[in-house]
Amino acid sequence: MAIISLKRKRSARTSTFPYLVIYPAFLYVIIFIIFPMLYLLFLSLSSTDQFSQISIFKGFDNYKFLFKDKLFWKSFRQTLYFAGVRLVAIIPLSLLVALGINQVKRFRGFYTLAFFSPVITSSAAVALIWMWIYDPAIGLANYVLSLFDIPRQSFLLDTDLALLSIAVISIWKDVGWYMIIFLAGLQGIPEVYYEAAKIDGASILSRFRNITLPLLGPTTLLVMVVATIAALREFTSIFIMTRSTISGEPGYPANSTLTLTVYMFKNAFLYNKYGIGASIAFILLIGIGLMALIQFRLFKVEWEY
Amino acid sequence: MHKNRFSGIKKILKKIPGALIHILLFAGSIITIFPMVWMFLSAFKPPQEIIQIPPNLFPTEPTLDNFRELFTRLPFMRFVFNSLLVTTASTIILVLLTSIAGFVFAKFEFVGKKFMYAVILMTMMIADEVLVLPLYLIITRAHLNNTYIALVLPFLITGFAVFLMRQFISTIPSELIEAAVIDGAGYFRIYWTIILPLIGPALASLAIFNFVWMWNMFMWPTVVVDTEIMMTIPVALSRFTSMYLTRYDLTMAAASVATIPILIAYLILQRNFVRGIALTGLKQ
Repeated sequence: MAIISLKRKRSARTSTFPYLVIYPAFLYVIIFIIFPMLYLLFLSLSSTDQFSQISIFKGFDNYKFLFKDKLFWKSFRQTLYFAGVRLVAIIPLSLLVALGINQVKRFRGFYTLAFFSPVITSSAAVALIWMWIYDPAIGLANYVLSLFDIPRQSFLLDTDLALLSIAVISIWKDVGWYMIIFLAGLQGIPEVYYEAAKIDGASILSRFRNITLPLLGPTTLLVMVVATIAALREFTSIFIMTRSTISGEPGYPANSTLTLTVYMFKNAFLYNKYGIGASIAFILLIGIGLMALIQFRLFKVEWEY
Repeated sequence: MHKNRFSGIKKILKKIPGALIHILLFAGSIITIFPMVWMFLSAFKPPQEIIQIPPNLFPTEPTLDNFRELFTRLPFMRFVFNSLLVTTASTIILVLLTSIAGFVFAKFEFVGKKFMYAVILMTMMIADEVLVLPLYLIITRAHLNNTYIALVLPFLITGFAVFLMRQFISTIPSELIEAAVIDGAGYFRIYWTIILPLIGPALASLAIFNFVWMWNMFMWPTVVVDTEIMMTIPVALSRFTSMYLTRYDLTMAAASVATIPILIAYLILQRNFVRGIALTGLKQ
């Protein structure tokens, strides 16, 4: 911190460098993040005419509307379902992969690349691949099921299966991501604990239960929060895979794949109901913000660990 | 990793768990990469082989027709160019702007520092998706729809990037900077000749992060662009599904084109990318 005292003595008065850098940068943040956030709040409290673009302040009307809107609650429930299914599968899967990779010395690069390749692939490309795999007539999924004598499914066209089918893709896509976070957590556990346990004669299982699991607690919580945020934000794959062939609107079939993000987009950009769209967006902003706050707390713990 | 100190029979069994782990990891890897392999291989199949049951893994008569059709029917070259331009330009600008901002936050005292840093950290909690509507209205009011500027303008500084850069630059000893100041170097020169080279790996992490993120970005370009010539690859892919609903030969070729550049970028900067996530675990 010596530089700070130096700055105070010599350049705090003379150097304009920090101001020249930070003030424009901060102005940018105000214009493109802070102002849009306030603008969003304003939009959510008003009704905007889509032709004249004139907004009239309406108080909480949009929120009141949403509170009574069946489709909003349906999207809400489905978002929770989507996030829940993802979470239940993705935590054990990514932990298992991380534990495995942490144990081996050879082929680490290959395994990491393999589990990571879907993470970096664009959701749009992923959607195209899986739309074919899920094709009821010529898709790979039904072919694989037929090998096990399981009856044909219509996946994305089935109201009971559509969202689950997309959750499966989302799990497949993100395991590699959370695996890396778990791997970092595992590598942060001091080796001496294991050495000590081995001297005491603890078995592999008991070492796992008594050392690895408790010390991975904060990491697991971090992954849970990160995974929930990702689920709340999921948009691209659902949007592309669930558009009705007739109307082109997402949520097909029968709104069974509508989540809050998709419903927000639908209102804002397909129906031009800016007020409703903004209200859903603001609810999402609060929800994701709260999750992110927890993530911050956890992250600080990790940082000091 | 940890050598078991079990005696007797267990010594013989020692090798088995290791092999089992490899078998399971290998099986998991194959299942995970299979859809991508399937996509790449199918991009070279003629239409009749696409709809064939049972399906072939490898194309029996590999053909480039799908790619040819893709690039002649649609301005697909243009989509690739748009994506490359938008992604590269925004990544270079973001890395430069946020590293210099990180430098200032890490090594200088100035009026309003704490407040501004707190605000910038706070912006990390805001998901991009929720700001798409207000940003769209701002861009529309500025008559910037269907421009490259609109595609990159809101993503040139992010709280995450400033935070990451500040964290890394904090670890550089201040004595280095003091020495350069005594030698008479200006702060911008110090940033350019001392700081930037020292945070190379962090810059690479940030760059690949941002590259992947911008390359795959979907919601923003979908709303801000509606002319064909300005579309990025993900937007084109989404329009594609409604145009050629079951032409899976074409969609696989298109999806392959969308995936290859990112895989190459990843392979080059793999280490930095994985380390970046491990260090932060923050950005999605």
